[in-house]
Amino acid sequence: MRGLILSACLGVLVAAWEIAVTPFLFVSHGAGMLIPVLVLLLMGSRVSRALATAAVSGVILDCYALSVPGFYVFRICLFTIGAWFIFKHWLTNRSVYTAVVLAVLMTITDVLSRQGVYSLQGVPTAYTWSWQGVGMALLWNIFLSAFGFTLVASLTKRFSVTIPDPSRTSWYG
Amino acid sequence: MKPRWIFMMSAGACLLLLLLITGILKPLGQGVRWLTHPLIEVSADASRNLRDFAGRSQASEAVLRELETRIASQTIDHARLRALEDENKTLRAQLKFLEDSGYEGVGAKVISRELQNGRMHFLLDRGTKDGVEVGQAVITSAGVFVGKILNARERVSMLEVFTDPDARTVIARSEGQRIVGVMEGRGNGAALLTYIPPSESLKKDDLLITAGTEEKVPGQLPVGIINRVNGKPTDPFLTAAVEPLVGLDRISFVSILRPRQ
Repeated sequence: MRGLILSACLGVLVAAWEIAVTPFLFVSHGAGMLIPVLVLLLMGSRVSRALATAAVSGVILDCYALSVPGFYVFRICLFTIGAWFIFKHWLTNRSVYTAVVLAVLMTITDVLSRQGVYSLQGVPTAYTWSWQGVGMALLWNIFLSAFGFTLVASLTKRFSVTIPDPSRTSWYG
Repeated sequence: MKPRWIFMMSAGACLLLLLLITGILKPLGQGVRWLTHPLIEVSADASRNLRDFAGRSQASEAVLRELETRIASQTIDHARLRALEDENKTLRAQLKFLEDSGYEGVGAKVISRELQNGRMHFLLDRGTKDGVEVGQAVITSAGVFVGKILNARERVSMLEVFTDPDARTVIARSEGQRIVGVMEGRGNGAALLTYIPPSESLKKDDLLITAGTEEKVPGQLPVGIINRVNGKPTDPFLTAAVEPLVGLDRISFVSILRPRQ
């Protein structure tokens, strides 16, 4: 339970970064913290904590998206679950390359899902789609995920391979 | 993950989507905004201060070089001096205007912004509980018109600047205060004055003001100056490029004009 609460608090901080820091400090709106944080949580912790962070940050982002509803909570939770599924069944090792692949997949899913939501609401593509923005978001998320993974791996044993405990069956911890 | 959990989460997601679409979760949204408002404000203040401390942006460097070039110029543009005198008169009248016009200004801070693909939307920390309504005019502390309220919730509202591609503002000349056209946003800080009658003798550096014909936008608010007039006298309508009086991408504090209560 304590882990979930901390994850929720992390979600609040990540959402505050996306809303009130990225728009002022960075040229591209894709320079956020959400995807790198989710990648590190998926790789180093339980999926429930990543989902808690995703859900809380998605709720807050939805509350502050006044111009066009972005259905953030729905999209973010969806691509978090998708990334966890891919990590669990295909990218089974914990390495910087896995972090990069997850970051790429989540960024592409985020961009495409957001564009899909905007298109369904009739927002012109010229207002919402930018190849430069997509490129910047990919580069930023790849860099931050790789850097974060390297930092955490060098300072902790979080990403060390451990023998799973067969007595633990619950995924939510 | 067990299939039962997958099914339950999928069902939960569909239910959440339904609640989002129908707007049933609006009270939850108000509560979340109330809870997170202080954190968002503090983060926005810190980001702005860090940006200002870190130095000027490339765009500001270009503006600074252009201004230095103008200052270094030996000849004073008579029309620009007249435009500045008109602006000064208008801004001085602004103070008296707000007292006499039945409008009052509600101070608001920019806590977030959306600058993408030429669009400029700013999130302000005032909402419907402060008397903010959609369509109300927004001005800077110096009294310069910057845009209108696009959307409003209880504690926050969205400002759409007049250079946004969807923005339309009825404009008049500061001299004579005749309506001269409709200003359409062109994105990336640019605007175009359209439907100018050929009989209007607009020229570079003429000061433009709001016409006051829109319901919640008072007149005589300075907006920008003419940069270039396009078209021939035989054309049915002329157009003119408009240069904003303030750097719209760097506004931090604004006033929302609401009817005096």
